[in-house]
Amino acid sequence: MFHRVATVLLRIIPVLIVVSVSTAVLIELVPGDPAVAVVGAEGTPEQYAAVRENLGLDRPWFARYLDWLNGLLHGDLGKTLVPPIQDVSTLIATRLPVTLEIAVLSVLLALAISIPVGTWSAYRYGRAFDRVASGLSFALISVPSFLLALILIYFAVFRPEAVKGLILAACVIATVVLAAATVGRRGAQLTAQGRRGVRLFALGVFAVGFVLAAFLPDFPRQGFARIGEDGLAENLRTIFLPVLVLGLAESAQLTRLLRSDMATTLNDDFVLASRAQGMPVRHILVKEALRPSTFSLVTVAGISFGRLLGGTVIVETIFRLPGMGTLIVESVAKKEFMVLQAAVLVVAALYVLVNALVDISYLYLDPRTRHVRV
Amino acid sequence: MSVSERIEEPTRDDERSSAVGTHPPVHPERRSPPIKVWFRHLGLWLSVGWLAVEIIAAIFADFLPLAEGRNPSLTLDAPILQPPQILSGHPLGTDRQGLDILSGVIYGARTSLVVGFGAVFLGVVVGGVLGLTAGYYRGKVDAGLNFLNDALLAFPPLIFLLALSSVVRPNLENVTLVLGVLAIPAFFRLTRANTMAYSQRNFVLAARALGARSSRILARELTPNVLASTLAYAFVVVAVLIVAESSLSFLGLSIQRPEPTWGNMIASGQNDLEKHPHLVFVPGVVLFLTVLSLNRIGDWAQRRWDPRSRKL
Amino acid sequence: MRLRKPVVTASALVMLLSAAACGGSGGDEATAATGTCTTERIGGSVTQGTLLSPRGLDPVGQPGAAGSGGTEVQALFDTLITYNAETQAYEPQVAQSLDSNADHSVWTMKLRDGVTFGNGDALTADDVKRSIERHQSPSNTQVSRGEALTIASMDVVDPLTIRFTLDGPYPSFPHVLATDIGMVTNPRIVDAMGPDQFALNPRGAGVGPYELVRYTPGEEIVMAAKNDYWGGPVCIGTLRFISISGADATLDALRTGELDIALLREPPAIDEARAEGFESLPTLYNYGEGIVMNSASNRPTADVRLRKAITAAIDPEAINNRVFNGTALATSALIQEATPGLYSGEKGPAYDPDSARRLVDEVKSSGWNGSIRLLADNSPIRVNEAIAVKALLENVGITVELTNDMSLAEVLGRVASDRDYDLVIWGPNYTNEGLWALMNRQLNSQSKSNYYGYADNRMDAALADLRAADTVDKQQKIVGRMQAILNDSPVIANFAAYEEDNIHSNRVGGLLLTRGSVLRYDKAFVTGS
Repeated sequence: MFHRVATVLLRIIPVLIVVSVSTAVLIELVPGDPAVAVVGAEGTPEQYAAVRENLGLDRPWFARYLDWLNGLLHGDLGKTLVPPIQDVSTLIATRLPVTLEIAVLSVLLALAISIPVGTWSAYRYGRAFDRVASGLSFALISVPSFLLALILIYFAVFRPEAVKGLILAACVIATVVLAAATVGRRGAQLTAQGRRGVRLFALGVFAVGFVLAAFLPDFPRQGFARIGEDGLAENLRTIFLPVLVLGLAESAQLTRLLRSDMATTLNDDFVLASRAQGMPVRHILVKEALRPSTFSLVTVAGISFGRLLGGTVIVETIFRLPGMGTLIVESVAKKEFMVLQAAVLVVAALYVLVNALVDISYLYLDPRTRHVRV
Repeated sequence: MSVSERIEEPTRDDERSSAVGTHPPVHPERRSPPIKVWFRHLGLWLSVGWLAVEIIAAIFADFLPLAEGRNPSLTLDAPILQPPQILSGHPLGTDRQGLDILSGVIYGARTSLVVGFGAVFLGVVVGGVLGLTAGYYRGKVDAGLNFLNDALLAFPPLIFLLALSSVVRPNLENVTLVLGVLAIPAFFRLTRANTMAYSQRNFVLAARALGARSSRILARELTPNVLASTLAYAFVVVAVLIVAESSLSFLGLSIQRPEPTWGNMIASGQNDLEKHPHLVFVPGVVLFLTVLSLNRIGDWAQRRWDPRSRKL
Repeated sequence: MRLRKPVVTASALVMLLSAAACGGSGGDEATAATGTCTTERIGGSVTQGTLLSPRGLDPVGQPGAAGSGGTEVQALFDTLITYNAETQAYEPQVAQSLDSNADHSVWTMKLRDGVTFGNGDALTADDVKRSIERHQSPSNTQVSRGEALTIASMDVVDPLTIRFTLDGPYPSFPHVLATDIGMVTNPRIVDAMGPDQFALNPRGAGVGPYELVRYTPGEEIVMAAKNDYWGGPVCIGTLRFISISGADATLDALRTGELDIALLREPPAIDEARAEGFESLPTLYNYGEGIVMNSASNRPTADVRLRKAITAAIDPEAINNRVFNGTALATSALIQEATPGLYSGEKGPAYDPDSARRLVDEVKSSGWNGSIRLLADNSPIRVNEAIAVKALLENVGITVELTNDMSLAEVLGRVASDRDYDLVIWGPNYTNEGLWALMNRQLNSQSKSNYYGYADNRMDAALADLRAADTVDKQQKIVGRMQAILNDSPVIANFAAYEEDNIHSNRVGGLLLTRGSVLRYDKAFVTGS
């Protein structure tokens, strides 16, 4: 067991070496001259040449790479080329939390959406709710993130009244549907306690919708407010739309996964036994059926998180968030090779680490899979 | 006739992958009348229809009177920023340069389809061959290829695309190549897994016992079986790559204006989003429908030919 | 179902009510804030949007314009001399007076008494000298070095007096001290921290009205008002600078109040902002956008006939309509008519496609293959301009190979460093303030920063005369001469003069516009919240 864990962890290092070497080669091939970015447009040819020499821009890429590696092993990530000249480690320390915050919140949002929706879809497999939910998640998977972001911006930033109206309308419709489920023939199928529960839930939905529509804040088109400086509320206001974009897309994947997983579990004997014993629906869904699926859910959520760490570029670009994605894009454009090496290494390391942790947890939690390697 | 076609054997269930259910729970009251069966596949037919229309339009684009709509020298007098009017000369409107959006969308379809299918072809061929090799031979070859695959996957994909696109000048061939490289790991993994599974089966052991060479086994026994699931998966990958290309285009790293791609049309329209939303939404809807159709077809194909690997 | 009807009616009612309640927000009817900063108006904060994040906060190493750090360093360091955009004249600011000798080659500057740096040190003439020497140092790669080197030597006469001996007569010398060169940095702090650290944290090293609170490169800069500013009370308590890219995003931020002030460059955006009632503080840049033609000897455009053909093929009005919706100042002239003082009625090259075609045929018959390369960066406006330009050039028989997939940084490299281009969509950007310095750097055949490959003796002579011109009338005549020279031997097929406009809401008042679109906050205030 320990042997397998160690193997997984040890494989990370050569992978990261390959990644950092590839980065060095790639940045070498990117056309452009950082000397111009450093000096400015009005320099003389001698000044450009002098800067190129000072910064070692004329040295071969493997010499630069070895120097960087040497620095890395001593804890020094170097400095930026283009003024203002900062320590790369400070720069990454300011940018990484932004991306981490977005990735974590997106995964949490995705889980918060997919668990209830997926569970209820599996329970009501093939029926109205399931069809609508499946259709929506299928559609969401098919929308590219930048398009989803632009759509959300169009509505939330430019047409907030329409959004408020839509929220109110949606909640009213949901309330009506829930209320209708408690009367007449359908309602008679539930217990009195069940009817009361559904009606309370309907009231809750209506109240939430009303409050949202009345107090929905204005979301900014772009920008990021740090918690330390502007407080948590401002921070959440600025990242709400980006997190929504990423979270919705991930939730679609997770919902489909959970739905098919749970649909099979619900068919298993032990669930049928619980139903025969007359256990309430909530107990069956949450305690019996969900548990085996949480395992694969957490796996995929972990992989999502890892993927999001490198995949926030589009959202960060559209919403102008100072995260790792925009840092990498800017460094490629400016040929800041020190920054790029460090940033790509950090993102790749986190991705590989998260995947490794998921693999390890898989090994640990499910003995059946210990000997199957895909 | 290959050995696999002559020997039938029950599939050995992999317990983990059977967690992906293919059979919905049976509800006694549901009997499916024929019209409902057809209706359930309505989505599939619509998807196939949409793609067919797109492919035909993309092929015959040059024969339609659309090219002038995209030539900036000829649109100097055309109306700019016109919203879509179905019955006018510009059914889907025009952009800031007076360039027709309908033709832009059709030429963009050509780019996206060529890039998508071309890159997937590259991915299937290269990834498939490597996956077959790794899955069949195992040992050091497998370890080495697996390692390279992991390294490629560890590179944040969009950043990898970003860097590669900055290196090569963004024309159709290069973009296809770059995205093809991105598709290789997925197909490598898929074919490797399937090859490993099939390699243990009796018909392969029988073939080897009969003295068949490895290359024959690979070609005659394994490839046809692996191919089905690979092709089923390919549709979904085409959708993913079309999205990737449009994301690259959106960031300005793919084919540049005035050559139209859906991504660069959306990118150039985003600043006018508030007052002229058609610049973003028209190519956006077309992109969405295309990806949706491909996903739908891919979903059906996977359900039919390879239910076990849907988790990938 | 019986329950449904009343619920449906109720929900419809709710929707109607909410739709009615969410009526449009009323427009601001406030009048512009007038006057200047007085002690009653102390307080408030302002957020300004900039185009680019600055290259650090050290005046040495700045490109010297508002677009990238100009206003920020102005607020921290103030300038010895300031340029008053309204009166078009230089006035002493931190300095008390600046006088010259008869032929404008020796200047004597007296400093004010009692001016202190943020850390308490008194400002002396020696500090001024050491500060200017930093600009003259070879490690300074910015344009300020060339400008600072017009000072041949500096003598500290007494702690408050310094004498500049120039390398020649230069009546517009005050311009030099109105740029970053005139921003005095406390040499003791600079030496203690080293230039790199100083650029990140110049606290206590400036005599300007604001002190640095926080600097996160690429994100924001926050400054707080000083209470011992030499110029009197500073009203606005906190200044915050963030960079928002894209004119539309900037306009949106102005409308929602996220930004109070922003620098806008795109003509349609400026037009829209003014139409919506925002206050405007514009600076005009001549030769704002055009097609620069590489005159170096190995280029097709070395042939002056081809350059004239290209100039004649460009219709500024057509480009204005196509790219800017008619909102730009379309002109092919060196001096656009709104330029204060320098406009003499001289016209730029006329749009004449027939003449262009004739010239193109002539050049083709001399051996040119008819094909030329056009470079443009991939920003949306430049791409739109490139498409329009290509159409116009192909209209007269030139085959254009367009490359518009490079970032601005790459294009800068190709043009300024490698000098590898035929045609490039570019904006030389000449303000009337400091015109000689700008033009000389780019158009003088002896200038090392002349990346246009332009060499014309008549222009060199005109530039020399321009430097020595001591009245606006003389400058106007010389500039008129230059237009004639440029009509005969063009360097750029210009199509628009650009404005950079400091658009602000009427919540902010008392802003003073100085050179390079830089804003001064020392007399500014906010009304209301």
